[in-house]
Amino acid sequence: MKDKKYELTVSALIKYQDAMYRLAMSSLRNRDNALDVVQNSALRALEHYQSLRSPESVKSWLFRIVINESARYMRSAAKEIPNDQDITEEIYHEKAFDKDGEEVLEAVMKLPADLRVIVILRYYEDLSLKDISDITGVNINTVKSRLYASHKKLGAEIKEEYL
Amino acid sequence: MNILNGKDSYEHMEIPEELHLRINDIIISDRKKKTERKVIFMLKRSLATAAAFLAVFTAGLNVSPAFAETASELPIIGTLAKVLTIRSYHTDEGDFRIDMEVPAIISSDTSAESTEEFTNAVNAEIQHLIDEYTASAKEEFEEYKKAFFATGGTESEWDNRQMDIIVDYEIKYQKAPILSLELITAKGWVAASEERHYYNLDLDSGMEIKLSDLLGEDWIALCNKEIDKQISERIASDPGLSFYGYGDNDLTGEKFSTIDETTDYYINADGNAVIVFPEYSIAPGYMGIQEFVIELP
Repeated sequence: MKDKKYELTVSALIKYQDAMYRLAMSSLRNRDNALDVVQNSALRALEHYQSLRSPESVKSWLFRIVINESARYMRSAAKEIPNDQDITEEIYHEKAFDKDGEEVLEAVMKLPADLRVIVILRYYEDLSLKDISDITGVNINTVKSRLYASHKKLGAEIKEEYL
Repeated sequence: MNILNGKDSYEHMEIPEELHLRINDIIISDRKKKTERKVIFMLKRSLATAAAFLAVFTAGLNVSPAFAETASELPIIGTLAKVLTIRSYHTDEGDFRIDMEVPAIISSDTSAESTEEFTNAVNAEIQHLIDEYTASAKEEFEEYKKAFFATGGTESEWDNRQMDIIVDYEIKYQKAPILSLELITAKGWVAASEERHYYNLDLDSGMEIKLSDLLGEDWIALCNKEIDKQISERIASDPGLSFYGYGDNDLTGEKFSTIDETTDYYINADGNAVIVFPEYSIAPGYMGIQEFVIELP
C-alpha cells in the first residue's frame, strides 16, 4: 500500500487539479465537459500510476493524460463540443482584472486548437519546449513552428527566450 | 500584443467547487479500493458506536491472574481453554471514536503445553491483525483529512467529523476441543465497511480445522452446488435481492463460481459449516456480508 509513485500521483493530483481543469477547459471550452475530462484523467492517473517515470515529470505526465483524454472526449461523437466561435461565453473568469489581459486570453482561446494548446503550455504553464513536445507528442521543431504561427496570427512579437 | 499579458486571466479562470469534491472522492475511493482490493460504494448502513479510545497496543498478551479470575464465568471450552476479552477500549478523542473488544484464547492450567503454544500463536495473530487494521484505518482517515483541506475544504465543512473504528468478536461454536471464533473489524466515515475473520480451531491437536475436515473430500463441489442453489432460492423469494451474474439485472461484478481454501467459514451452534462471503465479493455492496449454511453430510 505504501507506494512512493502512488503517493506522488495522489499529491500531484491535489496540487495540479486546477491546472488540469484549465487545460481541459482550453480544449473543450465547456465546464461540464472539462470536469468530466479531469475526472477521467484522475482515474486514469491512479490506475496507471506505475507508468509515471520520475517525480520531476509528474506535471507533464498529468498534462499529457489530460490532453489525451480531451482528444478522446472530442472524438466521441455523442458529445457536443461547442465550436470555436463560442469560446468567450464558455470561459468563466472571476472578474476582469485587467482588460488587456482578458482580451489577450480571448484572442489566444480563438487560436486553432493545435496552436492554442502549445501557447498555453509555453506561456501560461511555463513548460519547456521539450516538455511540451512530450505532452503533445509532436516534435520540438513543430512546437517551435506552431509558436511562430501563433504569434503571427495574434500579431504579437515573439521573444527569443520562449523558443 | 504581448501573449504573456493573458497569463493572469488564465490563472484566474474560475474553478468549479465541484472539481475539488470530485477529485477528493476519486482519491479516497481509489485508495480504499487499492487497500481492500475491491470496489467500495457508499454504504447506506452506518455503524452505531460508543465512544472509544485506542491505547498503545504494545503490551503482550499476559493476562493478570486477578483479571483471569474475574473472567472465570466466561465460556469455557471444555477444560482446555476459554475465550475472554483481554482489552476493552471505548473512547472518543480527536479524529477517532474507537470501540474495541479484543479477545484472547486462554488455555487452562490443565491443558498441554502444545495447546498453550497454539493459543498464544492465534492470540498473537489476532492482536497483529487488529493493530494493522487500526493503523491503516487511521492512516486512511488522516490522508482523507489532508486531501479534504488540501483541496480547499474548510473547517466548518469538515465539522469535526470522525472515523469510527470497531473491533468485536463472537464465539460461534464451542465444544471441546473445537472452537469457532469470529473477529469483526469495522470502520465508518464517508463509507462504512466491515470485515470478519474466522478462527476454527482444534485445541487438542493445535490445528486449524479445514472445510475438508468437516465436509469430506468433495467439499468444493458440495459447497458450490449448495451455494448456487441457495442464491437462486433467495432471489426467487425476494426480488429486492441481487447477486452478481444471477437474474436479469445488469450488475458489473463477477458471478460466484467456486469456493477454495481461502474461503471464509465458521461453525454454527448446530455444528454445521457456514460459508461467508465478504461485502462486494459475490453481490453488490448493499447486500452486505452473505452467509450460506452447509449441512454436514
